[in-house]
Formats: sequence, structure tokens, C-alpha cells
Amino acid sequence: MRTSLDGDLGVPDAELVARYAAGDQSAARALTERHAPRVFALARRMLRETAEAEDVTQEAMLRLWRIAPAWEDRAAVGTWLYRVASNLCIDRMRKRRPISGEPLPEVPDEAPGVLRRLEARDRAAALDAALAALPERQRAAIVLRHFEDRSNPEIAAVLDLSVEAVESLLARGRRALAAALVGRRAELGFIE
Amino acid sequence: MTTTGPDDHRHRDAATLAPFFAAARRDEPAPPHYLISAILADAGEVSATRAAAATSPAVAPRAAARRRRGGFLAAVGGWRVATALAAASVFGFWVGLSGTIDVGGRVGWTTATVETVETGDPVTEFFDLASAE
Repeated sequence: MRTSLDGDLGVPDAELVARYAAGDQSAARALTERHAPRVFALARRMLRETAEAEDVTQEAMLRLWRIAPAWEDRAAVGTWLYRVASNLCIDRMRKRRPISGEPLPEVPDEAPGVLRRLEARDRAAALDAALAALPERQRAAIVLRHFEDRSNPEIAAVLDLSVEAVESLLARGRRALAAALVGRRAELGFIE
Repeated sequence: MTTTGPDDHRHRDAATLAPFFAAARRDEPAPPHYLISAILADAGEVSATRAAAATSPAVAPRAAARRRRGGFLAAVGGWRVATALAAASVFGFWVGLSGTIDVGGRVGWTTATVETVETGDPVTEFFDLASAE
């Protein structure tokens, strides 16, 4: 069976969008495999709720399908999707009740070396709770930089800000996170 | 005496956070299969809608009009309710025109004799009219 990854691995995003617009569903599959996991991860980190992250991912991809015939190389597809998803997340965060400090639901772990995994999970949960306390744009900038490995100019394009403003957001975000976590280092297994 | 500048703070923050980010990155699930299926179904549906609109542009407005009519009928409760509503309207119009209604061999008058006093005050006249039997 031919999967989209067999032949589309090196194909540029813009070409896949054009092929999808011409009716090629394998191009849609390739774009989904390439971008949906990143959009989902971003939304999950920002919203801290899996079901809402799924909704945002589906909505962002749907907007790509709709805009495909008019794409015309307007931006990098990944940056455009991050932008749509970030805006959808920020809208949802503003509408809903204040976010609790509860950590993200855990992924089941049945692997050996459980103690080490539990320690890593506790650290991830502590970071997650600290992230939840950040203002929306700081959180978006931190997630894009440290989880999605986006450059500052890319984050500026996603959040529609200047690069300097992104640097400032990141510095303030990191400062707040470090302040929240530095006192928990011993508790979380870091040797001082 | 040593002082700490913004760069020192940045480095210290980065060193504090690095192991937390490393731990959190390991804890990242992939999107579920049903989400991928839903996204691909959307892609197929958008393509099909676009193809249908491109091949038969004249059909689209008719389909839209059908959807609008369907929406009205659905709103009033279907064909039967719409027919009953139309019949009741015609009957009410006839009663209004003829001024009488035969109920079990007796004739009831549907017009009322109203005596109003010209007060010149539109509010008072309105309440007089509304309370008249």
C-alpha cells in the first residue's frame, strides 16, 4: 500500500497545498501527517485540555483546506497553522473560566524504570502548572520556543508581534517560570 | 563587589528551566487516530463541495433555496402543521370579514360596540380600547 509518506516526504508544503486544492487527497494526508501533530501539541500545551486541543487542531486544519485554492505562497504553512491555532487557543482561554493549577492528564506508563519516569513526570507536571499561570501570549511564546523549537522571528510572525516584543515575552515568561520552579528543585529530585 | 546583569538572570533562568523542559518534552502524546480521521474527512468534504460547486454552478442556488424552504417548514413543524396553519388563517380572515360565527346553532357576534370618550390623550385612549368588551 502506498502511503503519503512514501512519495511526499520531500515535497514542499506549498506544492502539497496546491495539489490538495486540485483535488489530490493524498496531499491532504501528507499535510495532516506533517502538521497536525505539531498543532495538536501546541494546542494541548496552551489549553491544557486534550478534547479542546483536538477541536482546535481540527478547526485549524479545516481552515487550511478551505483556503487552499487561494493559498498563493502567502506564508509557510507551518507558521500559518501555528498562527491560526494560537489565535483559536487564546480566544478559548479568554472565554473560559480561570485555568486551574491541575496538571495535564497523564499518559499511561507501563514501562520499566518507573521511578525515573515518575520523577520526569512530576517535573513535567510542575512545569505545566507554572505555565498555566502565565498570561496567554507569554505562554504561547514559551510553548512555541521551548516545545516547538520555533525561532524568535517565526514566533513573531505567529503572534503578529515584533521580534523585540517576542524576546521580551520570552524573558518575562522564563523569569516567572524559574521563580515558580526554583524552590521545588530538591522536591523534584534535583541534586543541589 | 559583584553585580548581576540581565544576561546573568537569563542564564540562570535557562539553567533552572532546561531539565523541566526536557522532562515535559518526553511527555507529549501523538494526536489520536480518530482526530486524524476527522481531519481527513473534512479535507474530503471540502474538496467534494468545491468540485460540486465548480461543475454545476446553477444547482447551488436552487439547493440553497430548497434548504431555505426546508428550514421554514421545519421551523413551523412540517407540511401538515403548515397546511393547518394556512387553513386557520383563511378561516380567521373569513370570520373577520363576515362579522358572525355560528356556534351550535347560536350566533355569536364578533364585533364589539365600543364607546370611547375622546380624551385627546393617546395613552388613555389606548387603554380604553384595550379594556373594551
